[in-house]
Amino acid sequence: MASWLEVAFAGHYVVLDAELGLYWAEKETLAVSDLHLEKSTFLAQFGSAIPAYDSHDTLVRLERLIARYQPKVLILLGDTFHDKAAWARLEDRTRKQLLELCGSVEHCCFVEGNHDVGVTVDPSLCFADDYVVDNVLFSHEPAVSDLPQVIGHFHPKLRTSLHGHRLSGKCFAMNERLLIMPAFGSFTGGLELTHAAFTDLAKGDPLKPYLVYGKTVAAVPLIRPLAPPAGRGLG
Amino acid sequence: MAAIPSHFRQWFDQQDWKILPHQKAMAERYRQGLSTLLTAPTGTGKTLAGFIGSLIDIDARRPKGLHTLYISPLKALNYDIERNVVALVKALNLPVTLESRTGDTSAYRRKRQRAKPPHILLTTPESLMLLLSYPDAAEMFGSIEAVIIDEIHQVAASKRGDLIALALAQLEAYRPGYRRIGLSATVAEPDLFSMWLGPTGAPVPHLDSPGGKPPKVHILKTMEAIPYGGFMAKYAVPEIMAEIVKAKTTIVFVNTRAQAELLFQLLWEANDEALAIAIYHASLTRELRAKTQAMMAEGKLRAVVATAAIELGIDWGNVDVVIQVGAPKGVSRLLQRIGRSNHQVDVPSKAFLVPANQFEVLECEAAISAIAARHLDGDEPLPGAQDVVIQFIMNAACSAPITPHGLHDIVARSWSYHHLKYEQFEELFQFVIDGGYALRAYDRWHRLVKRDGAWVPSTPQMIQRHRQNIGVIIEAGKLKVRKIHGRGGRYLGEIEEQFGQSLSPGDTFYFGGEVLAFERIQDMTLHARASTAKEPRIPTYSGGQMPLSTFLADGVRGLLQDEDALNGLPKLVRNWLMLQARFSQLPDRKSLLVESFPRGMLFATVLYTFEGRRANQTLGMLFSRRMERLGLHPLSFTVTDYGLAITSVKAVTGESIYELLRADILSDELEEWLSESPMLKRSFRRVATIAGLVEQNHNSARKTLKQVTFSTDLIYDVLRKYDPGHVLLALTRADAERELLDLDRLTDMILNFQSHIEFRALPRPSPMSLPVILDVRTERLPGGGLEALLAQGDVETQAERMMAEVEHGLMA
Repeated sequence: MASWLEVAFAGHYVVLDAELGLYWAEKETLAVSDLHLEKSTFLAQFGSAIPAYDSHDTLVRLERLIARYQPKVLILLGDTFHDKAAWARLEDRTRKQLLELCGSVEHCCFVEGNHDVGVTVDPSLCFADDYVVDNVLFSHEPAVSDLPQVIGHFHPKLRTSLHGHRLSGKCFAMNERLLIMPAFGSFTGGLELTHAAFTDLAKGDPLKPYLVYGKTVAAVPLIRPLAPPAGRGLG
Repeated sequence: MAAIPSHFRQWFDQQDWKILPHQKAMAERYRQGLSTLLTAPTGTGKTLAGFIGSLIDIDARRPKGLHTLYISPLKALNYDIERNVVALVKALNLPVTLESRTGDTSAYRRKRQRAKPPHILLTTPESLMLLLSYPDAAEMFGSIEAVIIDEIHQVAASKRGDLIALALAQLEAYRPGYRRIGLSATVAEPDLFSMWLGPTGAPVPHLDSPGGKPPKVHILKTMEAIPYGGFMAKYAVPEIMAEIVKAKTTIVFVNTRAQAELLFQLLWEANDEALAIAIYHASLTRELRAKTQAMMAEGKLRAVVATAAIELGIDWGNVDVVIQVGAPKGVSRLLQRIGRSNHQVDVPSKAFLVPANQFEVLECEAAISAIAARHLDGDEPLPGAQDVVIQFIMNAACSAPITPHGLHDIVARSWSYHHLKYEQFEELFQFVIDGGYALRAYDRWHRLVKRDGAWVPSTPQMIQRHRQNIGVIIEAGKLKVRKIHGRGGRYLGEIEEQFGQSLSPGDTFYFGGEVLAFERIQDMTLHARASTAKEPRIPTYSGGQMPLSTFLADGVRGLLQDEDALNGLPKLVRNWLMLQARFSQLPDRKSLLVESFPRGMLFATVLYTFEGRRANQTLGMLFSRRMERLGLHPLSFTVTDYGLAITSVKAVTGESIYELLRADILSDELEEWLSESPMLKRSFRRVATIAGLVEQNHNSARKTLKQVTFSTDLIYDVLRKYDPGHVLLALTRADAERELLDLDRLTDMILNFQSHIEFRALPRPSPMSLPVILDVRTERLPGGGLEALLAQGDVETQAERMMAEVEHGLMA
C-alpha cells in the first residue's frame, strides 16, 4: 500500500497520499487535481501515436483512492479534461467509468480549470468556479481571497538528493496559506518547484515540498536555496 | 586505356604527388562498374581514392543531374571534403559541380539543389533521408552512378548505419546497380563490412591499402605520481605543456567534454608563454568550432584540446604530436587519433598517452602492446534495428504511395534487414498507420490512409512533422548557453539540460574555456555571466562517455596475471598493485574477487569482473535487484569496464554473496527487473522518438504545446500495463539488448564463478577499489533503497513537526 503523511494545513489535519490525493478526514473529503483526461488523444491529433490508455489508467487510480478513503465529497480540482472536446473523445466504457465514480460519492464537484473552460459534459456533472470547505478555498488557480487555499494548475515536481543520490518526482507544496496539489493524470508532466512561478506564489513564506517517489511520500528539504547567498564571490 | 587520364596525372606530377596504388586501383574499379570497400589507414589519400573514378567519369561524359552521392557521419567532414575536392576540381579545371547539403544548408540552396542537383552532393544520413522523403526523389536519384560512404567503421555498427543501409536500399530501387564505395580505417573484420555495404548481403570486393610504419606510442613520463582515482590527469599538466612547447602543433585528445573544459583551463594556467591553445568539442557553437578549425588549418594554433568531435578524417594540417589524456578505451580508436599526427605515409606517427588514474595505466599498457602486435578491436555491424524501419516506412510514404509488400522487398534486400520477416515488417507498418494498439476501441486517427490500394500520409501535417524529426541520434535535452554582458550577450554553445537544471543562481561552472556564473534558465536557454571565480563551484558537466572495448578490458586482466609485464610497470603502479595484494588480493582468472567495506553511513560492494561496461551494467541491475529482495537496500551503482561498485544501506556478507550471485539471478530477476529498470525506459525513449511516437523537434507553431509534453517514462508505464504485447515494447527490449546488455558474457561469467568467489570483508576501501568507487558515473536505482532512505529521513522531519506543533500549541 502506498504511504501517506498527515500534515497540518491552516489549522486542520489533512492526509497527503503517495497516490497523489489529499484526504481531509474530518470533512470526509478527497481532492485530486489536474487529471487531464484524453490528453493522449489530444496529442494524437498532431500526429503522435501516443497510446490512448491514459484516461482509463487515471480513473483506475482514482477508483483506488476512493475505495481506500470512502469519501463523501470528491473534489476534482480543475483541468479534469485536457481540452474542450475531451468529453466527446472519451471511450464509452471510460465515460461510464467516470460517471460511476462520480455517483459513488455523495457529492462530486468539478472545479473549473483553464483547460476545462467550455467543456461540454454530461448534465449530471456539477461544475463550479471554486469550492469552500470549512473556510478553506479549493480553487484551480490561486484566487484573490483571504481564505487559505488548496490549488492545482502548477503541476509541481521536485528534484532533490539524499545522501548524494538524486531522485525526482511529483510533489505537494505547502506553506501556511497555500497547498499546491501535484497533477494526478497519468500523462501529466510537471514544473520544477525551483521555478520562479512558485517563488511568486509563496509570497515570502517558502513552500515546503512533500515529495512523492514510488509509493512513498515524505517531507524533503529543497535541494538548494533559491537565492544566491549574499556576498558570494567577494570573499 | 590507363585508369587515370593524362591531365590528371600531369596535375599530380606538378604537385609533386605520387598517385598511390590504391587510388589507381579505385579508378580502374570505377571504370569496371565495381563496388568496393577500401580500407586504408588515416592520411593515405583515401578520400581522393573514393572520388577519383567519379571525377574522371564526369570529366569524360559531362552527364546531367546527380552523379555521385557522398555520405559521411559528420557535417564538419562534409565541409572539409568539399574544400579539398573543390580545390582539386578548380586546379584541374574540371566541369564538375559539387555542393554539400546538411541540416545547416540554407532553405534557398536546398530548394535549388532539388531542382537542379550538382554532379556531386555531399550529405549526412539524415539529410539524405530528408531528400528521399520528397515526391521527386525517384527523379533526383534516378541517374546516380556512385555512392561513397565515408568512415564506415564509425557508422555501420549504429542506428545511423541502419539509416544509411535503408537509404542505400531505396536508392537501389531508383537506380539499380549503382556503385557502392565504402571508405574505412583498418577494421578487424572487413568481411562483415563488405556484406553490410553490398546491395544483397553478398560481400562487395575488398581493397586493403597497407599502412605505413607503426606509430611510436609511449606513456608520458611525469614528475608527479599518477593518482588512484579521478579522470582529469591534472598531475601531468606540466609535462603536457612541455610537449606542446616542443612541438609545432599538438592535438590533446580527451574522452569527454568535461575533461576538455577542465584540461583547457589547467593548460592555460600553465601557459606561461601564452601559446595559442584552443578548445574543440561538440557543445560549442558552430561558429566557434569553424573558427578553431580554420586557425588550425592555417597553422595559427600551437595546440587544441579536443574530444572525439574532431577525430574523424578532418585534415588538421601539420600536427606533429598527439597526446591522449585519459584511457584510450579502444585500440582502433586510439590508432585513429594517433593517425592525426604526421600525414606522411613513410614517417611513423608520434603519440603520448596520459593515464588519469592507476587503472588507466594498465589500460594504456594493454593498448600499447596491442598496437605493437597489430591487434585491432572495434564494433561490428549488427542486424538492423527495427525502430529505424518504422521511420523509414513513414519516410517512404511521404515520397510516394507505398504498399507493405513493395516496401518490404526493398528493405529486406539489404544485409542489415535480411532477417526481417514480412510478418514482423507488417507489424511495424501497422504501427505507422495507426499506432497498432490492441485495446483501442476507436480509430479516428491515422497517420497513413489507403488511397487506390496504396498508403499515403493522412494529412500534410503528418509529412511536415515527420520531416522535422528525421534522424536516429537521440540527444539528451539541450539548453543553449548564453553569456550575458550588460544588456547584450552571445551564445557560446549547448549544455545538457540535466546539468543546467541542477544549477542554482550564483553557481559557477566551466564552459567554452571560461568560468561562468549561472543566472537563470528561460526559454530553453541558460543565461550566465562571466565570473571572477578561479575555480568553479560545480566542477563541470559530464558529456559523451566512452565505453571501453571488451578487447582492451581483457588485455588488462591478462596484464595482471603476467608477472613480467607487472614488473615492467611504473613503480607507483606496481606499489599500488602490491598494496592491493597485501590488503586484499589481486583479481585473477580462477575466481571472482568481491570486496565489501563501509562508506560513511552506507556500505560498498565491489565486484571485479573485467567483463566490460555493458556486462557490468547488466550485472549491476540484476545484482542490486537481488539485494533489494534480501533487504539490503541498494541505492546506486557505479560501473567501470573492470568492475561494479554498489552502494547499499546494509552490508553484503560472505554468506549473502552466494545468494546474490546464484545463476537463477539470470531468470528470476532478469525479466522482472528489465521491465522496471530506468535503462529500459531510456531504451523506450530512444525507440519511441525514432519511431515517431514522441518528437524531438517542435516547430514554432507547436511550441505552445511544450507545457503539455511529458516524459516517455509515463507512456512506457501505461503501455506496459494495458498493452504489454505492443510492438514498441518488443523493440525496446531489442534496443536494450543491443545497446546495454551483454547477456551471453554475463551468463558465462556467473556460471563460471558462482562457486568460485573470493569474498573480502574489509575495514576500508581497498587500493584497487578506489578508481571504481571514485568514478563519477553512477546509476541510480529505482524503488526500495531510496524509498527506505526517504522514509528514514522522514521520521526525523515528522518528529520535528510534532515538536514544532507542541511549541505552537496546535496540539490543544
